[in-house]
Amino acid sequence: MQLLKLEEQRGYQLNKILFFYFSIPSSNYLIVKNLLLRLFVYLFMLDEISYSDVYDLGNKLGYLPYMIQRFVELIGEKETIKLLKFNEKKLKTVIRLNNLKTQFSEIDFLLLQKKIIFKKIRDIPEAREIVFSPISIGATIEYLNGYYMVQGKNSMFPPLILDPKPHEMIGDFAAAPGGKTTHIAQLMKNKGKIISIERSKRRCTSLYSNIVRMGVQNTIVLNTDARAIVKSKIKFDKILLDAPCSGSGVIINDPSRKTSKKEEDLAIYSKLQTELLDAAIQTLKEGGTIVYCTCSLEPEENELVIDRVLKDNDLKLVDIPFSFERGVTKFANYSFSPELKKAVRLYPHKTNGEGFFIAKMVKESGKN
Amino acid sequence: MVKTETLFKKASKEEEQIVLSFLLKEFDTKVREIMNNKSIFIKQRGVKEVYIVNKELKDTIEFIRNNSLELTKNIFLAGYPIGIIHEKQFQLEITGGFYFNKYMEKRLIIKTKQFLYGKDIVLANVNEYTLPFKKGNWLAVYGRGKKDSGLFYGVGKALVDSNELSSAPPNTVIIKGYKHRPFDLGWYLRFEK
Ligand SMILES: C[S@@+](CC[C@H](N)C(=O)[O-])C[C@H]1O[C@@H](n2cnc3c(N)ncnc32)[C@H](O)[C@@H]1O
Repeated sequence: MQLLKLEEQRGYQLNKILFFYFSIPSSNYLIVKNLLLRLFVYLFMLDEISYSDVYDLGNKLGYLPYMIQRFVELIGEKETIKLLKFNEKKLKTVIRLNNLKTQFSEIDFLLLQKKIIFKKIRDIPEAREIVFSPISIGATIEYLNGYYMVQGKNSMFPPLILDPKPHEMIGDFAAAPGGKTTHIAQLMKNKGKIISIERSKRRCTSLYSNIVRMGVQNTIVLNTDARAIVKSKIKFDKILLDAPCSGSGVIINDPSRKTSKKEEDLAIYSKLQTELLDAAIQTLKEGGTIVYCTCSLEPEENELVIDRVLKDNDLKLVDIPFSFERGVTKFANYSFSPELKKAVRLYPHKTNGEGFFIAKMVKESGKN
Repeated sequence: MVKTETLFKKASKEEEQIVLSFLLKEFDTKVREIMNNKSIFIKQRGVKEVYIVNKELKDTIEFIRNNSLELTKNIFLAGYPIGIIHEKQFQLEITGGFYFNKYMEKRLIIKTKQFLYGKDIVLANVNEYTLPFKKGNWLAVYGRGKKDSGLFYGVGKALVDSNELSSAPPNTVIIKGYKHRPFDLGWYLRFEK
């Protein structure tokens, strides 16, 4: 039904263009006529994309066939083509300014002195997109002094959505290399407490160096499986679970993902993610908030995980105040709670950044 | 060396004394301000690493220990690392330089970035210093190149008195560069590789 409506709208647009085309006298406005013709052909062509076109492109770009099939199921042929093409580009370098070290205006000034050209990013006051830099942005003295972190733009949304306050007890349940832990500390003005948990010892080393470089002093790093934190009996005000995932939203950064994960792997991730989220819920105070996110586009790692925990716990999803696409409520044989429309999906080609799924939940008080 | 690893635990009286006497020597009366509501913690990972931990985190560590000794063993970091204890002496490290630099009034302003690559600072590379210093004093090193004016580069122990400098040759080493124990900010790049 929805699809028919869209087709109807496109047909209407095509007709409108044709009408304009013929109503302009040929002797005049040749350029305008030419442009209209191109637009017509473009819209017409878009209509013509078939599954086999997408499949061929996916094949040419080196994707496993199951991935293409799933993308098409999720967003349709046209959007899949756009996504695949976008994944062949390079993301713009983005940095997060760290006001635990000095004010944003001072860092802007130092960057400008180095002839680094940057622009601000909507909705994220601490982010700067690097337009041009004559030097390597990850090796300046300012970087070494922790004045900024080189970090994907979209990965700044989960901490902003978590909205941690100074004096709260925050859990970061999958923390290395610490882009989000250090962002959370900055939002808390280095006050309160953060427990950052990371299972890999090797990755704890980069978490450590980022925490120290960024001047974060309110954090305890635990090198353990986050499922073990229940034993500590700590009750958190807010928890961020940036779960380990299959990474299908960040193929632009890691093209090996086109072939590195099999379809069966998704179920393994989904199980681990559900268990981690269960542990997070157990350790959350009543009235506390959890932000769950992944850099995967797969519903099994996202909506399915949330749908499961909603069924077993007194949790409710809350709206996310940014205008991104909404979570899906149907995929393949699954159908999820309509509440999942409150979660958001950041598609790489639509947001010009890494792919993310983000859901925000509150544990209801008086129950559990 | 055998890599012993211990719990992240509160410093013993002796360890605390070693660190506090260093702080008193370097920062004098400001120690009270620096250590207000803070504790010293130790984690041994081959060497004894020294951390400054605020009251809230200290209480949380205790809470974790009371509920799970197992998890206490997993504490990788808490608060902020400032240096190590080696042969009963406290040794400041670059992280300590970060922590204390606003209190370090003896500053050496240098012209080149060589120090960031683990190289020595020689007299010829010194632009100026803010206060007279003695051999053995800890100095905060700052850059004053065209582009890095006033940015922190690291810390180092003076090998000469500042009053000897007027007659010293240009290749006199003032601070030794250390490739292994981090004193300079370039350590982060070397460490992450
Ligand atoms: C998506 S990354 C986290 C990125 C991080 N939040 C950041 O912003 O820098 C997921 C991390 O979870 C860790 N991990 C995987 N399984 C875990 C578990 N059971 N408990 C804790 N951490 C785990 C991985 O080693 C990996 O570092």
